Amino acid sequence: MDAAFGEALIALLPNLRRFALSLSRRADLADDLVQITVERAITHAAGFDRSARLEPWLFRIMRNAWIDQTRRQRTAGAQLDIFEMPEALPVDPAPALEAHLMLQSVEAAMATLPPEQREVLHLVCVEEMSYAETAEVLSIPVGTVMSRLSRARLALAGKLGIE
Amino acid sequence: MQIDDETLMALADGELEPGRAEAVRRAVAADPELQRRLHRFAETRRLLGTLRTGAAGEDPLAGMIRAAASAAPEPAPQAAPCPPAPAPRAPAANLNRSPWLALAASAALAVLGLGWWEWSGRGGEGLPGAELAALDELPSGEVRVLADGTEISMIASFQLPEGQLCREYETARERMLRIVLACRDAEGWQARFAARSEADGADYRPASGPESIEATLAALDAGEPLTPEDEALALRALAGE
Repeated sequence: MDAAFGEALIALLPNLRRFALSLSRRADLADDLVQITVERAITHAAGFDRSARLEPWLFRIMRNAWIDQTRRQRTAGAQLDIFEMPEALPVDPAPALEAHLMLQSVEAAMATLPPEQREVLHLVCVEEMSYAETAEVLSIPVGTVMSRLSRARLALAGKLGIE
Repeated sequence: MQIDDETLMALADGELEPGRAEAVRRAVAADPELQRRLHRFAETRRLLGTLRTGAAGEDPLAGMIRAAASAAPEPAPQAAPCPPAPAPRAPAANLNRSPWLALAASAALAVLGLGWWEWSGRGGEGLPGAELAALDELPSGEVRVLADGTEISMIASFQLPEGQLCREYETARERMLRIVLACRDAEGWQARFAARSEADGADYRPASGPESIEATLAALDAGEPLTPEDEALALRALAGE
């Protein structure tokens, strides 16, 4: 890893922290997730195509790390993608922490959405990834990104009272 | 005009190709119901964009990343003032030292008990054939996995004042890490410096100060790492020998 890659990585730390929080919704888990992502990025820096954008590459590393962690925490031998079965993800109750993190009603509304809608919303609307980049990060077709995103946007609009 | 939600959303997100976007925009302009539906997508995008807040202060991980990225730490001042310290080498143009090596300078790896020790590799130390092949052709910054599973990372090339080519590389296999400086003479590649370490630190022995790769390069008057272009030229010249 050279200094330029290091600085690019540092510049994206706020983006990584946001996405980690969006995925895990817990500050301690998010910190771990960012740390793991940065370590993996440093280790695999040589494998990064310098002509590509760094964000999707990093988000993909982070999401894979999150899936790894979540799988490890689940004892039953579930083979299904947890993002396809949101009801299997326990909703973290810790209301005080949630209230602290969810400073804005938008965040609060977003937090009520299923994880697979939340991550697509976050990548496109918060991190400003293109549909194609988002599809790459999530390993799903662009059409799935669009249908999921559209449902998520309409659900969010409903919760926020946008007519 | 029938326009579905995903199309309206793609318009709000700037994802429609220009011709299609123009057509949809015209249809929306003429239809209050489409305007209402488009508004839901534009407004959710705008609101979510407000979550893209900047960072307050520098991230705690920034220091760790810089430590891993700063390839060549300044040589520590020697206690004995007698020999003039080698001039600190300026930031390298094409020095591709890997994170674990750079991290060895920081506290992070000390926790792992990483120990370096000397390897009396001066002159005639036989280098494995696969490493010799990599020396002849692998550009700096690239990694190759050898048949026995060893991962070899080419770090940088240097040209000595008399024109001799030297190359610095690292190998990693299981827990064994090696760093080697090899220089090319009439008989081929010779190791001029080598050190190795085991990640579990069982055989920890501190590296003695001046016998570092930095010191070896300074003693050889190796100068700055070659740029990728100069390195490619030097390697082509080798191949033509």
